[in-house]
Amino acid sequence: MQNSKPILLVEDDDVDVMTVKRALADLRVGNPLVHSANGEEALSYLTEQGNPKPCLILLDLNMPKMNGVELLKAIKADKMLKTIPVVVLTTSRSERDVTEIFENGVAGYVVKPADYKKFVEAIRTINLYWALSELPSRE
Amino acid sequence: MGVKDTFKKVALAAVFMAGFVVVCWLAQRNIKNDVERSVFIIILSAVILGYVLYKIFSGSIAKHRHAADEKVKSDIGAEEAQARYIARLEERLQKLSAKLSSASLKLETEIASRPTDQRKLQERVKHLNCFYGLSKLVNTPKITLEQILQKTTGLIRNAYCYPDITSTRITLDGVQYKTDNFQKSELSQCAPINVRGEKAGAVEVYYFGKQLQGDESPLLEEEQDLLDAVAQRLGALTERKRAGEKLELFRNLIDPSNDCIFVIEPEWGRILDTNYRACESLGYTRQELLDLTVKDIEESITDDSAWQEHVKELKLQGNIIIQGQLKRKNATTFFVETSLKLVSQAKKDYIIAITRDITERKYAEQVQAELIQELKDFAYIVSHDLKAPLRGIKTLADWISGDYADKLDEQGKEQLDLLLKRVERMHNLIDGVLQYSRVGRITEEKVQVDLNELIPNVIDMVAAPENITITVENEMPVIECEQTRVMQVFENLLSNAIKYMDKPQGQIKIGCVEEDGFWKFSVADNGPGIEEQHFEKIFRIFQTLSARDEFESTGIGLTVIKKIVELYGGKVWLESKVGEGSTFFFTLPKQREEVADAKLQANIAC
Repeated sequence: MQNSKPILLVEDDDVDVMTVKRALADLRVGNPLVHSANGEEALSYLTEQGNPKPCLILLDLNMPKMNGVELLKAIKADKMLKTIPVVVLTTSRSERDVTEIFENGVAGYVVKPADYKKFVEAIRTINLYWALSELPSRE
Repeated sequence: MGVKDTFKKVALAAVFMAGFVVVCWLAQRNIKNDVERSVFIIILSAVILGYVLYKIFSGSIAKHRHAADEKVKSDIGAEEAQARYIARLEERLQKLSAKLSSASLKLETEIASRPTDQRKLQERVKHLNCFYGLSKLVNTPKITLEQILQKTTGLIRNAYCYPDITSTRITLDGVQYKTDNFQKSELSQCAPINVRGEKAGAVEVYYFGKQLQGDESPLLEEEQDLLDAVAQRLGALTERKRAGEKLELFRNLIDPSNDCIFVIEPEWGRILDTNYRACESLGYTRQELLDLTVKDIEESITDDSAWQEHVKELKLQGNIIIQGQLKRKNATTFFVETSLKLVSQAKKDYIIAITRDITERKYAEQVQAELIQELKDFAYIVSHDLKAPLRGIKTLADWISGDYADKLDEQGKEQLDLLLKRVERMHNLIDGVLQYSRVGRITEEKVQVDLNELIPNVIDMVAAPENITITVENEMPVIECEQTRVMQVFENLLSNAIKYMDKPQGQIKIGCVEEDGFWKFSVADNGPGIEEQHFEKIFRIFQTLSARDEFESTGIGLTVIKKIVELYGGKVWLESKVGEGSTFFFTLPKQREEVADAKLQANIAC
């Protein structure tokens, strides 16, 4: 990543959280990882004054309380949050999901590979892309 | 002429003379006072006097002359005259007595024939009573045919000359109706009862009294005529009554029928008749319904032209079934399926509409659709949710075998290996279910696919080992389809053929021929072959023929193929010989079938 802002991971599965952490560590990505177990938690983190705004949100879709799509809509409806790129990281392959997600202004949609090595590759690609792409600077 | 008469006349003449003198005297006395009146009285008196005198004298003159004649006759030939006179008298007498005898003869005849006429008259009256009685019976409300027949036996008996010694029996279709005094005898009359031109029974009358004197029969010809007439009436009555009963039975049966029944006039859709069920369902009285047309009660028929469309189709097909919604009087509606049939009677067309309330069916269909949807969602969600923990297991197992490789002994490594393999299998199974549930649920646009390009791509994808050659035997067609689905079919068939190949030189041949409007594709291999008893089983989900550890197989591939092919309106089957190989066939319609299309549409809608 271009800066040292945190990456927000919204994910309810502990193993997946471990996987992402491990992959980021393996890839030596220095950005701190903030973890929220569901949409509600993530939204309260994002709207809490004083919390550093993340440079990227990795978002799972199937979560309790507030799911990924609901959170995505909430983020895109918030002026302060809507410029933060959101990359969906999910097991869902459903075409309807993909369409709905992109209609809500998502920056990317990645299906979690079952294989850890492939998973690391996916995270590497995401990291590379967001190292390359310009990001809107608000602060 | 005696002295008495002469004296009488003289006396009379004297009286009149005296009267005349008196009148003259009176006239003379009065003449001085009233001349005219006196003259009148004198003249009148003279006239009267004259007349009286004339009368007196003329009588005596005639008598004198007659006496003189007789004296002359008896003098000339009294005997001759007398004889002539007698002859004349005799002649007259003869004439008179002839007249008298003829009159008496006439009188005698009249007297003799009077009792016969009277008897005939009485019989006529009896016969008429019999007919009147029968008419009365027939017109009695709610009377049954049986009651009529029973009562008619009495009527007939009473119409006969000797009712006390006469008995009657009516037989109709084997059932007998008898007078209470019924007994058979030799003297009888009989008339057949014909119903619809066939003998259905008879009316019999028996006379069991004494023989009459002479040759005379106690049963008269007129009575036979009566019997014939009654039998004929009973026949006609039976016909009518039975038709009526049948009609009433029919009416009673169709009235509470489960379905609404309408008789409709084709041109404007006027309702001509209907059953009770229809009235009940729609909330109208029968009379109200008969004032309505189809437009008033069927939601989908909004104007005459819509109705005419149906009639046109009906005339073409004879009968049609349409689904729609009937409108009740209170404007609520309910789902119906209506069977319309065109019938002709007496050169007029009618439409019989039988309408069934399918609200429950519609509801059931809706529930079914929801269930199917739920099941589809279930398959999807379950497999989706199953995948997440599985991925976790796999990741953790991967890390353990990587991170702790130096701490695990051989057995531990082997067990972890087995664990990972099972995880892989589970993953494939879930993927298979997802794939299966996706067929038909997720559709993509249909495009023209040139199989001559697509199949080589699939062959590349399946990456057959070097000992297996895959060849395309002939020119492949261009078909309109969802590319991914057709790829799936070929991919699954090819990977099966490769997976189970047991020969050192494997050969897989892909072919296509045109057959009855279908493209018939074949994928033939020289693999192990399949026993015929398994032909059906292998198309069922999760069915495999070999141990899973021997061949990693989910048992979903062929099921997916079957689902895809059938969704397109084709079939899939196989021919095989154990040890020599198998050939899988599947067909796809050349023309996109409307049925298949509708099915696809329905699936999309689900």
